[in-house]
Amino acid sequence: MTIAAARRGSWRSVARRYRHVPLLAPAVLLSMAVFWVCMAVLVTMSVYPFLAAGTPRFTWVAWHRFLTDGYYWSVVGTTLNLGVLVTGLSLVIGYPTAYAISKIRRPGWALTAYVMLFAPILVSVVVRTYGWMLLLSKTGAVNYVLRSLRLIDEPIALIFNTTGIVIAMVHILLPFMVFPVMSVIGQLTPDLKEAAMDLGANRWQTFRRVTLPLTLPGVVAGSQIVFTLTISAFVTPFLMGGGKVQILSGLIYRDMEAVNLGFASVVSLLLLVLAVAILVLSNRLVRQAYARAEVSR
Amino acid sequence: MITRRPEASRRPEALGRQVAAGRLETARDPIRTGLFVVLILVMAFMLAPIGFVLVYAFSSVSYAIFPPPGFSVRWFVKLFQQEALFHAAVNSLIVAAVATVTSLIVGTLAALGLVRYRFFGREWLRAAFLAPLIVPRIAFGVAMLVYVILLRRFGGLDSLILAHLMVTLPFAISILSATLVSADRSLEEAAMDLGATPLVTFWKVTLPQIRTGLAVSGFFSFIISWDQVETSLFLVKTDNKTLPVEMFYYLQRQQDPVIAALSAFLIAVAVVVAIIAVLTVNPRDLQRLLAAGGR
Amino acid sequence: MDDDVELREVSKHFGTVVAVDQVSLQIRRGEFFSLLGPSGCGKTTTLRMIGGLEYPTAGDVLLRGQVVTDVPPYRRATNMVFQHLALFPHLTVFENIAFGLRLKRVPSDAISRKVDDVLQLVDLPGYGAREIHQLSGGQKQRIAIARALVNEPAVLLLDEPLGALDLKLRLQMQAELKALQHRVGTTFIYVTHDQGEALTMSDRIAVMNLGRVEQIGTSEEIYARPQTRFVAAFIGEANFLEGRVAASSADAVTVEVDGLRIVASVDRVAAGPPQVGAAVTVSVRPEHVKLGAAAADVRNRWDGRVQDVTFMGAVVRARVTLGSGIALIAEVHNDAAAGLSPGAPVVAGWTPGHTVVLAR
Repeated sequence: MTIAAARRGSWRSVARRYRHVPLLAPAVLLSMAVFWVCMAVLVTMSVYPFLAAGTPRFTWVAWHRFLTDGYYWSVVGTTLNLGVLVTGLSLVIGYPTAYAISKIRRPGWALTAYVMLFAPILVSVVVRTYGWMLLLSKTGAVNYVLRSLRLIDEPIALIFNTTGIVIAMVHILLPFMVFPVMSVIGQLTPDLKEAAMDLGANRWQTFRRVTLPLTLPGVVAGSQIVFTLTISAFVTPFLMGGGKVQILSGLIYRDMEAVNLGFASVVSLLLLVLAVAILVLSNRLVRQAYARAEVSR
Repeated sequence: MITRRPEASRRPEALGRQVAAGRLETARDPIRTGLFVVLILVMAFMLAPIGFVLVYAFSSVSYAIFPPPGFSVRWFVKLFQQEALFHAAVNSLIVAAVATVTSLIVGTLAALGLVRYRFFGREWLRAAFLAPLIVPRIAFGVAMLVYVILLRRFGGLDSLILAHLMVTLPFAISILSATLVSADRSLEEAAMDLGATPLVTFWKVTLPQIRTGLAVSGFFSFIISWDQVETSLFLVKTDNKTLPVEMFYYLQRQQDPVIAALSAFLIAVAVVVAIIAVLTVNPRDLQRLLAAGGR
Repeated sequence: MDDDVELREVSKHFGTVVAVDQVSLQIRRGEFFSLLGPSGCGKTTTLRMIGGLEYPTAGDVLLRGQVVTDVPPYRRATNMVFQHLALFPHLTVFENIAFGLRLKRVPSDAISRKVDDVLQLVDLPGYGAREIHQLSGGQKQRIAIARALVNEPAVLLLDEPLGALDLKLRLQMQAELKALQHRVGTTFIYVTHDQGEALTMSDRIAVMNLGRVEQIGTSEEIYARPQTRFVAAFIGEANFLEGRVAASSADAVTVEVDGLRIVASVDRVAAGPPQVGAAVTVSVRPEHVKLGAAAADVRNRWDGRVQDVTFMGAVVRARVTLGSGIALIAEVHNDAAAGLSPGAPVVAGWTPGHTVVLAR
């Protein structure tokens, strides 16, 4: 008797094979009906501005305008530049922070460190940005301290420029860098480092040859998250930039205020493409780096 | 952790080698101290803006200056006279609550479907569920606005709820999937063996096991929705905003410390929530969850 | 209907992997029946199909004459004791045991009574209020059994329940389980990879390998009259010699192995009367190979030389090579081991009644 012939045709066994369908249905329906449809609408809007004034027709005008104007390319450049600055700084500050937290021995202190690092997420990004606006303004605390210490004579401009944006963004996104790095550091067993030292590596060599490569996946993950969130961010760069630093999200806001939905759609889509491209590229690069490391061994 | 070996030799050259090998722990280890200094500085950095907002909330003048010349609570008084802010807060609360509950329910069901069954296209579906995380929120906000206008439902809380839901659902699915993976299936089999139907099994056995995952998901979903600016920015009507959007516009119009007072209030709430969370959560469950999640 | 459980040509495929291959069995009411085999032989999968936790890809499962192949586990009259016990950590001992009863809407006073009774049965009276994490391994084991038994199932399924216990506790629990089964009278189906366990406790055993049933029989039948090479090798130890049937008569069979002629009683031949010339494997257990003076009057007897001797306490193991190069392992009592030393000549042999002939 072949299995196929003997397979039960009872309704129960058939129903059993599709048990997962009712479980997944609500999520699928919701995300289809809302997310995917509205993204499709966005794409349509960028070439067929059906909500603009006048009769809608299929046109590449909006795309053309963006892609041929040097100004808009400079905005893309500013956005990417901001991403690089914030990611780099978060990494430089975040990696040692993650490492330090993982070395805390008493669980009570470790918990306090976790809380102090991650609790600010509970506070609205608007509030935190406002805090930086207060801190970094010409009459704010930072300038006050610097002047009292006689390090500067005139208050320096820390706000309404790239510096201010970077400082505030690093503050907002630091937990997102620390968390993945902390996860991979936590997975390192002490015997790996001990084995390296036993074989003659000093602390720096152990770090460079054992700890760093093993924590690289966390570094990559954290960098991807921070970079994507930086180029997508609106509130902090807008408030801290004060209109002097223009990034893509600011362009979108400006177009929306002017009810220029077609152009806003184009810039939005471009931002999305940028975010996805960075992710795909970084994944590809990391994989290549690993492959090359395998070959050279 | 490097342990101390009592038989470690104390001869000078041996000492040097052993320190280098990390086998002896010296009380003053420069790298360790350096790391902890960095940690302290970073903690200060993280708390600085929050601290200063609190300082200004009690400032006696309306412009931002450090150090504040005097102490006053008049901004708190003015805060409670702001109708618009209160209305916005209520809106935010409703939207966040509904989005959270819906994410939890839909998310648990979807996580069950993804974790417990193997079917064609499962990984694609999982990627599709997580896709909204990559889309820049402001781009999504624009898309939602166009969509909502098309459907002629602009300005209501329902469009806000749906928009927030699209942002919170991927988090819920991701966290709950991680929780379910580490849940003990033999307990569910035992329940079914003892006569519990799948529904009863879920209620009596699965649910207690994913308690921590549900709490964490709910917590994150609420915070995310409560704090959403870019997604809500274009979906709100002038008289019907959410709190962060209202604060954003307020900040652009005037920079008086009323916002600082509101912020102080919100910070107090956040501190209370953090304390409750720390005290009630089971650290072992959380550790397992964090290990399994990794995102 | 005397059978509590019947499996008809039951198969289970996981993708391309065949876990259970056309297994048929009948298990009688009140039996202590074991499924024995190495890891991966399909015994646990078979058990789970009886309990309803897996559904067969083909074939039928019957409980007391009723086809229950597609019936979900919460509607079958079976209960399982899981390998890792699966006790609900968030419930007390009482609530764990009462779980099944509550689902059947048994009234509270009856539940209390039944739980107390079953706790008495497993020798843990008064433990109802304890938490699961407060129990020792052996205690958890008994609670898991109690939780299953309190529902008075027609068949109790046990999935390697004693694996996590230390040796002494395991031996104790084996005796207790056997006594329990006698007292309660429920059909027990027991899965294990430990042949000692199966041989001690079971009324009948099904030996499984690679998804198929190799042999079903009582402990004695399986030990003394294995029907396949796998069973002979898996249960106890055996020497295997390959040869051909040289002669066959009404009460004896002669097998030629490397020039030696070995005689076997006809009832020790597996799979029916052998053809002359057929390729067969002769199997004899080390404890049946007699050495020296003890081998003086056995039918199958040859000269050989001792290769090495190992003292193992109650027994002494000797490796002996017979003239034609055949190597045998013999196990003799330690007081019959005088004169055994490496290189010494020795006579080795065994009776026809201890010779098992298996198909090749």
